[in-house]
Amino acid sequence: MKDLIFDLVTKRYGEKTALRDFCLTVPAGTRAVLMGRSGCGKTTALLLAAGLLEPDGGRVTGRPERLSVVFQEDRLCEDFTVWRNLRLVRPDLSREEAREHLAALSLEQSLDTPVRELSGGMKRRAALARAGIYGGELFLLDEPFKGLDASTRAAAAAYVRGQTEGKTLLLVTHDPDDPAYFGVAPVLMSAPEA
Amino acid sequence: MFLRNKTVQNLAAAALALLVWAGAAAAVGNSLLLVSPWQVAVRLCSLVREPDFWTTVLFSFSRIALGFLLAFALSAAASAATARFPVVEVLLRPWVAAVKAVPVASFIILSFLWLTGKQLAVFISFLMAFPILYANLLEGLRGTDPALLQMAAVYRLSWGRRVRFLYLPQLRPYLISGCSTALGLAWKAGVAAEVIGVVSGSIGGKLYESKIYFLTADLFCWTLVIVLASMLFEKLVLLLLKFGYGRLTAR
Repeated sequence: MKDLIFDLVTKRYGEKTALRDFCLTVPAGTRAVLMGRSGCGKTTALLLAAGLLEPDGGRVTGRPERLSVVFQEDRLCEDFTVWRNLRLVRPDLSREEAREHLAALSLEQSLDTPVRELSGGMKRRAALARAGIYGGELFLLDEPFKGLDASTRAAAAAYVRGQTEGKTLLLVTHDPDDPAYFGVAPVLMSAPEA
Repeated sequence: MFLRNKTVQNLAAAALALLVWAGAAAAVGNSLLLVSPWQVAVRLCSLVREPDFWTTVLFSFSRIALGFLLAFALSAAASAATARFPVVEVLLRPWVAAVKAVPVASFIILSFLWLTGKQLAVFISFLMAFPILYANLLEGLRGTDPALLQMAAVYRLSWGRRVRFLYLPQLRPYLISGCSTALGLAWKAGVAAEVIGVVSGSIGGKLYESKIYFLTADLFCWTLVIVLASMLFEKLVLLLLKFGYGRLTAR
C-alpha cells in the first residue's frame, strides 16, 4: 500500500478554479478528514483521488487498484433491492455477510427492499455498506453521514472505523464533529482565490 | 358504468366499425368494390383450407421475421459501437438519413435489380426496421445514468455486469417501443416489396393476384392475415424480450 499524495494539484472547470496547487499526503493505512465550506474543492479532491477526474496541473499518486467510494450522491440502482446493489460490486457475496454489514448499520431488515422505497438516510447507509463490502484498500467517502440522525451517525462512524482499520481513508465533510469519530485533526480547505 | 371497462369499450368500438362496414357494403351493393364482413369471413374460412395458405403465410413470415431479426442484431451492435466510439454515428448518419428520406418504393425497385424475389422482403424489412431500432437503442444507451457508470468504473464492474445490470434495464422501454414500431413497419414494407416484386408464393404475391383478378374478398382476407401475423409476431417478440430480460437481469 502506498501513501496517497496530491502534489501541487490544480483543477479547473472552465473559468472556475476548484483547486489550485493543492498538496496533501495521506500516509498509507491512516485516516484524513477534509473540511471546508461548499465550493472549496473537497469533492473535486476526492474525485481526483478516485481517478474520475484528471488534474489540469500537478499529479495524484498512490491510488491503489481497489477503491471503496461513497459519492456525494448515493449512486445506487433504484430499481434493485439493497441485496442486488451490494451483490453488484461483489458477485461472490453471501446473504449472511451482507446481513452482518447491514446489521452494523441497523439496516438488516431492508436487505430485500427496493432502494427506491428507502429513506434518504437508509440509502446513505446502503451506500456505506456497499463500500464496506467491496473492501477497497483506499476508502474515499464524500459526506458519508449526510442525512443520518445522531445515534445512527455514531453507529455508521463506528462501522467506517471498523472497515477502514489498517486501510487508507480520505473523508470529506462539513460537520465539525466528524473528525473526532476518527481521532484525527481535520485538514481545513479554503476556496482558491480567483 | 359498463362502458368504462376498456375491453368492453374496445369490443363496442370494433362492433360499431363492423356495422359501419357492413352498412357501407350493403349501400354500395357491389362486392367487387366493397365486400361485406360476412363475405370476408366466409372467404377466409375457405382460404385457410387451401393447400398453399400456410406455406404462403410461412414464406412471408419467415422472411420478414428474418429481416427484423437481422435489423435487431445489427442495430444492437451498431448502437453499442456508437456508444463506445461516437465516430460510428457520424459514419452511419448518411445511411440512416437516406433510409429515412428515400421512399420505400424506390428501395424496393432498386433492390429488385440486385436481389431475388425471395431475398427482397428480408432486405426491405431489415432496411425499414434498422434505423428505428438503432435510434431507439442509442437513445436508451445515452440515457444511462453517467453517475451509475462512474460507480461501475470505480467498483470495477466487468463489462458483462455493466451491460446486464446498468444498460439493459435502462434500455428496456426504448427496446420495447422500438420493436413495436419497427415490427409494424417491417411487415408493411416487407409485404409491399413482395407486391412490387410480384414474389410468387408470398402474401404480397397473393395481394397482387387479387388486384389482377379483381378478387376483392381475397384482398381483404390477405390484409387481415397480414395484420394478424404482424400482431402475433409482435406479441412473440415482446414475450421473448420479457423472458430474455428476466433471465439476463435476474440476480
